[in-house]
Amino acid sequence: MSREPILSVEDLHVWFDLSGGSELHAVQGVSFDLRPGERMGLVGESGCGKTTTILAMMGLLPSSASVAGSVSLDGENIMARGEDTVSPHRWKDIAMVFQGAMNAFNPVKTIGSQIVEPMELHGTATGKAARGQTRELLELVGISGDRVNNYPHEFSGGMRQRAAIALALACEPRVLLADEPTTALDVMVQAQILELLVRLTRDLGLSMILVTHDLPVVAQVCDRAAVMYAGEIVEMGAMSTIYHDPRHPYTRMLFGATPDLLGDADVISIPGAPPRLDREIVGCPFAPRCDSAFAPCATVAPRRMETSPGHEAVCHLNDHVVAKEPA
Amino acid sequence: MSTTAEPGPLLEVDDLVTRYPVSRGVVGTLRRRPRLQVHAVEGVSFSVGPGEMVALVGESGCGKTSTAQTVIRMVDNQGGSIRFDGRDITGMSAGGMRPLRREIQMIYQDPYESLDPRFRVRDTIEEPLLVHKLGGSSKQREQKVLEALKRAGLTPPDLFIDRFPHELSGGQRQRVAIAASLVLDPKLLVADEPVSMLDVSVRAGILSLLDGLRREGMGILMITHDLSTAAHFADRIAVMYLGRIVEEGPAQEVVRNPQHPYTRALISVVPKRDPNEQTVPQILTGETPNPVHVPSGCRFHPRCPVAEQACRTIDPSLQRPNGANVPEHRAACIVTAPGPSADEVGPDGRSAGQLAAAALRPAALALSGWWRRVWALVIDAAVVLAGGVALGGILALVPGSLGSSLRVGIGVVLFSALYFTIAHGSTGQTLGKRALGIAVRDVHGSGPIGYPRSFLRWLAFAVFTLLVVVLIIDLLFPLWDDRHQALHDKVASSSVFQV
Ligand SMILES: Nc1ncnc2c1ncn2[C@@H]1O[C@H](COP(=O)(O)OP(=O)(O)OP(=O)(O)O)[C@@H](O)[C@H]1O
Ligand SMILES: [Mg+2]
Repeated sequence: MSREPILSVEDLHVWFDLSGGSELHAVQGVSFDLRPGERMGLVGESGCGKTTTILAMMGLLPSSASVAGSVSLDGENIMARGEDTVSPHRWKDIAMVFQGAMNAFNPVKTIGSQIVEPMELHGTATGKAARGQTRELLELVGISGDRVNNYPHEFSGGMRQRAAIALALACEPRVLLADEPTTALDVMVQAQILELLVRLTRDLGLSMILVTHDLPVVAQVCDRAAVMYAGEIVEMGAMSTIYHDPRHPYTRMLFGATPDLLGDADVISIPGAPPRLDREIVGCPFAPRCDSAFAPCATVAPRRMETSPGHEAVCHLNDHVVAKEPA
Repeated sequence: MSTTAEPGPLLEVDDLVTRYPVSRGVVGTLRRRPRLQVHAVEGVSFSVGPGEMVALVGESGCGKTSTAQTVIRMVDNQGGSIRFDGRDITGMSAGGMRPLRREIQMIYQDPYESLDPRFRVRDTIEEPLLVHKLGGSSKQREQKVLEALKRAGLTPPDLFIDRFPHELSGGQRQRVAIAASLVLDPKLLVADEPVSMLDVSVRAGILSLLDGLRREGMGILMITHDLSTAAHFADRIAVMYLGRIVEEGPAQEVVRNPQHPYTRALISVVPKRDPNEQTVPQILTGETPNPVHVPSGCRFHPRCPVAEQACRTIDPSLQRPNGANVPEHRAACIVTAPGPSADEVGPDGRSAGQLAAAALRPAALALSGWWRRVWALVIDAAVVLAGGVALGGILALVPGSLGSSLRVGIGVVLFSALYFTIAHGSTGQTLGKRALGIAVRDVHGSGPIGYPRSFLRWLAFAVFTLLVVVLIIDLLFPLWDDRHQALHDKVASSSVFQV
């Protein structure tokens, strides 16, 4: 995949103002590219900033948040002038399936009318055309078009999740950001939804970022993965490279903490907890939990290094200058 | 796992039935609509021994939680019996249950809801002691609280004893909840999705903690929808579908050698950590149907990829399938898991194939996954060689102009073609894979560790085997070849096929 990136995030930062007057640095310099048709996984523990990152890309953060950095769509920085430059692209170019979206439908409106809404709002289709498209969208995600007039409670969980995906696709976006789309679902329904997402990226040429805390899901669905820790992408590369040759101890330990159906190795949890993000982090944020930390980790922040083409990690172990220094 | 002393099971559930009435509403009642019921648990039997962890797995709504709640007598059952520690507790009154309550403890899914936010850790753990009027003086109680914290892995305990829930992480809260049940020294722990609300990084810790308690002799019934977790930590797995156990057996046997099509499908859709090891997911359409209207016959038949006409009427019972590697493995399917027919059953009720497989089993289990595959290949290669050489030998006796080694080679190709097509066509298992307990991952063919499915790849395999065999025979049997040559020459001279 050597084509130009469709979406390019550079040095993204997000701070939240907390009530006590302090600040929480939720996203701390995230950069990545997404190429057309690519499926990328964004993984990490709860609170590491996955949702905040993609909300920032959509320009949907609350007013308590301040943002820095750039998000470029086809080379144009859509964050340049805030809402003015993001809103023409929101839903029409970049769309999102929210975390818990399947439970966020308005219970007193039909599914169909809730999908028509964004179309009319953004003027992509109105009236009869919009209703026709809604049926098509439902069929596309595997729901019979005859069910447009059903209410959310008449759908099972899996069908509501499909409808949530249809809603995100209403204005024919090119990039889909899916936040934990299968987390609350059973394994069989999860498999159905993942198959749907893969099919959509293939048939419609959509690019997708799949946000999840579940590494095996990324392994199954994505070409590439970015592992986040404490607001930062600590490792990024092709999925199989990351599994077979992780260059950040966090990635390795995260795999080690995940049971595998037919794996024989012991499953070992990662001791401790992620650092607080409302205080400045000195050295490597993972150092206190890391099994291979050495002298510089506690004091010097590691550099982002490309360990092989397309594979990068932020760890002193890859930095021969630092790693050779005497303790 | 059963110990040498062989104490009876801690929990014995037999043919349990739990139904909830469905509200008909006023209109329904007036119109005399038939009273409907949710068939949550429909004839479930299993047991949990001391020091054993049994996992109940299945999709939401399959009756896992209802089973657990019935077992701890929070919900009444409509049929069957529950025995705890040898006593029948099925109809026991609340008063009768009271002393038993401390011996059966429950751990819930959500550590945020199960702890009272106003209680310090100390109070949360001390509470059960006060309720059951145990623990003696406050000094002794404090001692017990500290011990429970230590057992739950919250060390040093005085660092945690005075904290409130909001001052603890999710994993720590779940440990407090576990400590609160440990303080009563229960014999049986019922854990309903104990880690599904927790972060991946801390799940393993909680599961290892439960594993440690199991090793100390506690019986654990774990409810989970995560097959990977069950495969790793449970001794036995029972797969539930719509109120029934459809397959049951030792955990590794169930995930590596699933017999029921539902289990096979479930296993095929579990994402693996290794991106190169993903199986072709065999996705079932729809979701678990409504337990109010249970399908006739086999309740899985409307979603089953291999259902036959008979499945609409026959409601299969759990029995030991032919494909099982161990006698404790049971499945309820007449298509993929038929039991042995009467004539091939050995003295202890096992067929010859099962006895042979069981004999190889301990050796097989000692091998790692990779070596298991190699040995399965070796066994199959040996079978193909032996059968092929025999067939080739017969072919070599037939007059003709081809050399004996070529004929033996042809015999091997023919035999391997027969062997693999027959094996794949019926059970999908070759002798080698069966002996080594390698699972067939989906109903239609081989999984990633099975043999090549496509014809081309099979051909490559056959040609490779053929070449090896021709080489071996040419090296080892020149004498044999010579002796036959004389015979051939005689016959060939009288034959129409001249070289
Ligand atoms: N509106 C907000 N105000 C203040 N802090 C916030 C806000 N939203 C998120 N945060 C904080 O930002 C950090 C990142 O949160 P985020 O929701 O992005 O994590 P996540 O990786 O999506 O986690 P999860 O897996 O639990 O969804 C967390 O520490 C969180 O508490
Ligand atoms: Mg999130």
